[in-house]
Amino acid sequence: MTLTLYHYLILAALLFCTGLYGIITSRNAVRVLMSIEIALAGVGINFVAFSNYVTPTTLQGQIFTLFIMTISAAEAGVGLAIIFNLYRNLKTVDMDKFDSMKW
Amino acid sequence: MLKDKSFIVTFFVFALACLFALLSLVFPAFGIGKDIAFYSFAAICFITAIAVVSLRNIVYSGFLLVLMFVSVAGIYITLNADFIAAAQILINGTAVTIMMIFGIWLTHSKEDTANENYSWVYRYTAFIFGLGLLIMLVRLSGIYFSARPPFFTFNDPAWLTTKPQFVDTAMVIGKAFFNEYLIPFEVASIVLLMALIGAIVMAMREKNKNTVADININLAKSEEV
Repeated sequence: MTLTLYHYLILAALLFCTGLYGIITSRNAVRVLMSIEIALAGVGINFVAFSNYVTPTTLQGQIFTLFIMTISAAEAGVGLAIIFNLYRNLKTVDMDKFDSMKW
Repeated sequence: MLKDKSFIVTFFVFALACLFALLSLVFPAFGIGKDIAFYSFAAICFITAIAVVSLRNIVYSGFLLVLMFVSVAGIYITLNADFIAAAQILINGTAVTIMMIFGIWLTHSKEDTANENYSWVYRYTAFIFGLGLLIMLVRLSGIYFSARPPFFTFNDPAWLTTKPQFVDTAMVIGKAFFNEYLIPFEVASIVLLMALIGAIVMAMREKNKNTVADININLAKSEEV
């Protein structure tokens, strides 16, 4: 049984839904960021799979995957900075406690 | 929630699966080929993703995230994307996860309620929500599971089983970055610079500024006196 595009699409859907489940159920803000990274890994697998099977010579999907990696690294940095700031002010990383913009 | 003590056993199983997948990638002459590598890496990837979102101890989650990103890089290798796989290990597998682990360590406190569980109603609702999205995505991907046709089929069936073409991925990506994707490339570098400056400015410690927690502690002390 050879590998087809469907195998990669199903794996990417599984990863994306796992990340979404983590985003909904996590109370710890750092775990929410990790769940976002899992979902973005699923998106990257989707892009590279389409790049391999649909445009195998121009590799447009791989270029978009590099952009996704760039943006996800920037998102992780800014998100962690926000979480550090919230932790310094509220002494917690519980998502339920983050309910006011000004104190 | 998975038990944390089963972590060591599962880690050894993961390590064996990793070894098997790497062997099948490096030595295709053994008769075990790309599909075995794909299934091993996919199993590691999915199980570690489940563990990251459901382990009680978040430090284990942070370290398992490394394993998940490395197995995603293995899946990229089975898709003939060697440059992307290297970039995945370098950027996501090390840099982002080290930032996450430092974030866990710097924001960890014993009294914090962030590590308590939600009620089972909340978790099962989220599970049903994720399962529904999974079914929708799989239906959208165009797979025939029953007599009913899927919502979407590919125009060209040859897309599903394209023979691998060995192109020099680094050269193709580099040429594309400096020709038709030049403006997105420069914008991405500006976005990275802005994220760097923004993260530093937001995480910078302001001196002599009382936080809400400090004010509450001071109030409690003054009331005690």
